[in-house]
Amino acid sequence: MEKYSEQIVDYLYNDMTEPQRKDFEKLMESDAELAAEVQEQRDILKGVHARLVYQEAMEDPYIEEANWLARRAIRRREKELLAKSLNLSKGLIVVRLVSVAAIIIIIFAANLSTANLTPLRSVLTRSTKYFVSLWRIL
Amino acid sequence: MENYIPDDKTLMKAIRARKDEAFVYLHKQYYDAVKYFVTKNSGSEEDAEDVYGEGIAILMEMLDDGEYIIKNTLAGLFISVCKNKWVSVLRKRRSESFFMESRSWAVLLHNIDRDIKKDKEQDILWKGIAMLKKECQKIIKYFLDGKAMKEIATIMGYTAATVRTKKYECNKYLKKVVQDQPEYPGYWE
Repeated sequence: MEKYSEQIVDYLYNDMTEPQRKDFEKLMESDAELAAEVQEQRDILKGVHARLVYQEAMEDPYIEEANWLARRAIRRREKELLAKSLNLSKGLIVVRLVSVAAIIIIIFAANLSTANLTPLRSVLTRSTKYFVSLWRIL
Repeated sequence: MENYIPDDKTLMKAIRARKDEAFVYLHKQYYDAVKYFVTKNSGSEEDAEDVYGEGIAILMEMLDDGEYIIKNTLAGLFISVCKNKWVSVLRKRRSESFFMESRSWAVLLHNIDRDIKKDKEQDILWKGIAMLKKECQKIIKYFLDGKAMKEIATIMGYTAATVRTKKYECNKYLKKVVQDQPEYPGYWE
């Protein structure tokens, strides 16, 4: 692997011309050991880069101000999202109340139209089923 | 697209203009850092993706409204946004859980910093970074940020040939100090 060490570094640091890059990728396709070595080094560099970026961010001299602004923006966004979802919930509650009222009226009307209790029971059963399925849909 | 390496000011402008290359660059540059602190603080990779996505949305709003300190680095601003977003997610999760006590924002933010500090003492990549000279850290970071050899040479006051040699030396040293640590063989599992 030693003979490829410089090429690996150039490849990982994006310091190759396009034809050189393509040649090296072809070489990796035919050499599993080389490909594994490149992957291992890539993982190290990715991990190191993530940590260096994080470190650099934390060294921002105005990080406290950035934190304060970030918190304010997050709270504002969360409030907006909550308000949106509450509006949606209000709409659903209205729909449910209207459905329940409609069912009660239907049951009441059915009860009035007949003196026999059997149809009322049947209407009640059907209405309950309807109510349950409607509730599930909502 | 591949060579798009803007400075902070240009990048902020490109984000406000919703240019695709700006978001590709942001992802390449910051996603791993976000994933790093989320997964080190009781989060999963999916959590990191969510926090990153929300972070981008919040950053766009902040830049649109001009709500940032002009002297802030974009890294500082964006990582702060994501870190605080993760704190907000953790708070919600804790308040939803019956047995977990809901903690204040400041305490949770402090806990993230404490865990990262602890990680710095134990994690082999942090140890590797600590063993590198400051100069090597800079060279590696500049290259991984996508800066060109000539640009790095100008920033550091070297010739391109010197930077090239140092790049090999620094990478070789980094690889050695990381791989020499006893925890290394199982580190990626």
